[in-house]
Amino acid sequence: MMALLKYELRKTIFAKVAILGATMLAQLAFLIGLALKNTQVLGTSIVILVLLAIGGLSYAGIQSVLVLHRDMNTKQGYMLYMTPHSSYKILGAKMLENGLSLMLLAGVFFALGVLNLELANAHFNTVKIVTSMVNQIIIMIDPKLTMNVSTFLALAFGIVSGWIANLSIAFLASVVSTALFAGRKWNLAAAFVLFILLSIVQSKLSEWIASPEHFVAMQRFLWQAGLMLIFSLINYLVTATLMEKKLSV
Amino acid sequence: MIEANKLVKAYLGKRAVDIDHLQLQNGRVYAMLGPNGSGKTTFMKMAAGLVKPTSGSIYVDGAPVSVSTRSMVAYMPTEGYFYQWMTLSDAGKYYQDFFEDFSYLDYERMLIDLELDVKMKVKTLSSGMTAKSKVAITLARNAQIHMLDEPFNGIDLLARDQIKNLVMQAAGRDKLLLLSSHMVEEMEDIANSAIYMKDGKAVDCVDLKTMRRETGLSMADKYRQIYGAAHQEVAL
Repeated sequence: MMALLKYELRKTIFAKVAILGATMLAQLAFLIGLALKNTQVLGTSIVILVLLAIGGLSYAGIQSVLVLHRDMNTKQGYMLYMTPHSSYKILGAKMLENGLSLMLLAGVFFALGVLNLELANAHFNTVKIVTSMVNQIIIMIDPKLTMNVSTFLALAFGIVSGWIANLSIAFLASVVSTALFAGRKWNLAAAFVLFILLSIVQSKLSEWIASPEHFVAMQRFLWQAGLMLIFSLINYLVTATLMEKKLSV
Repeated sequence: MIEANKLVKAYLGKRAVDIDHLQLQNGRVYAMLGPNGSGKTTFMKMAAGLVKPTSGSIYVDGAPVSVSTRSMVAYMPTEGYFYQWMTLSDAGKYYQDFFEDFSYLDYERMLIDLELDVKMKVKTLSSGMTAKSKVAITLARNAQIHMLDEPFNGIDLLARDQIKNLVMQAAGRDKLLLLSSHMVEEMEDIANSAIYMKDGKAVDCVDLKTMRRETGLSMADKYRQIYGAAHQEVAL
């Protein structure tokens, strides 16, 4: 399993290092802007950091689906499927590597966010005003919601878990389309249509299994995260079983 | 041993493989012969566990082809299949990580014999170099069964001789070697049995010595007998 994890990481390491490298450069720009009190550099670096957080997490996830698709549809896939490992282990390694990478990236962005907010707070009083404005907006959306660090952490965990659940649907859609339409040019398009359909089903299911009414915000976010991880597990089991029984490479 | 019973692989209704019964014994070197599309590659992929049969069964050493039989089978696909980011050394380390029967030392020795450097990058290899490195990495596994799909493709005469030597060294009393090729003459020196594939069916499986003794036919003569008739029919 460790060998599978090692090579899964190797396949995607370049993009992840590039995302982290760009993030460090943007962070450096933020610190320089802060030290020089240059609002232009500060503003630009904040925008870049936010874009990198959204784009980086999105790309790291999408890349893992593309790697799976490539492993099933190109000759390089023989390297993986010739090994004496079951589809459960092969897919498990892919999902584990991707889940851990996403959590790690999310953790880095979260830590930088907290750090930068604290640093900015110490330098500019206006940041306190902005923070309170953001809190007001959150209360307008949901009056029960009081945003503190633990609630924000639960929210971030819920978002990343939701993204992992979406990726597990993408894995399933990719495997189904390859098993049924291997070698066809529209294989990828079929996978995309299937992904949309399965996402709708999962979204309806998650609405149906709503958290108990008395739950506070943090509990609701954790409930949602748990639900998404259970969906991911179910999708993983269905996908791996299909790979084991039906997939030819 | 590889055994196939009522083995069928169909793609959109067309049967790529349709073998009623075929048994390949250990201690022999089999040449799997036949024109393009006769089912050689699909049969090998099914034995390697890469392609799932539509129906029927295929066994390796008495066990149905599965994850566990993959460790007994060293399969070399006809296409280049190493990851593009690898060097030949990386490819060897990859095999070492996944196959207990792989010897990195043997692999390195074979690469030297084939005039290849472990530091070479996969993406810069010529087709001949790729073919040689695939043979080396597959034969560096001390597996029960070796299956090489078109090992002489894209390789010059001298390299072909080197590969023939490596294959003959790999053959052993308890090992099964299955090689497919269009180059019938090359196979004549290595194989002691031949399987003739036509339209997905194993039309004949012969012991070459017995065939020569009883009918006076060589592997190539038999090939002409089986496929030559078909060519003449097309020409007419």
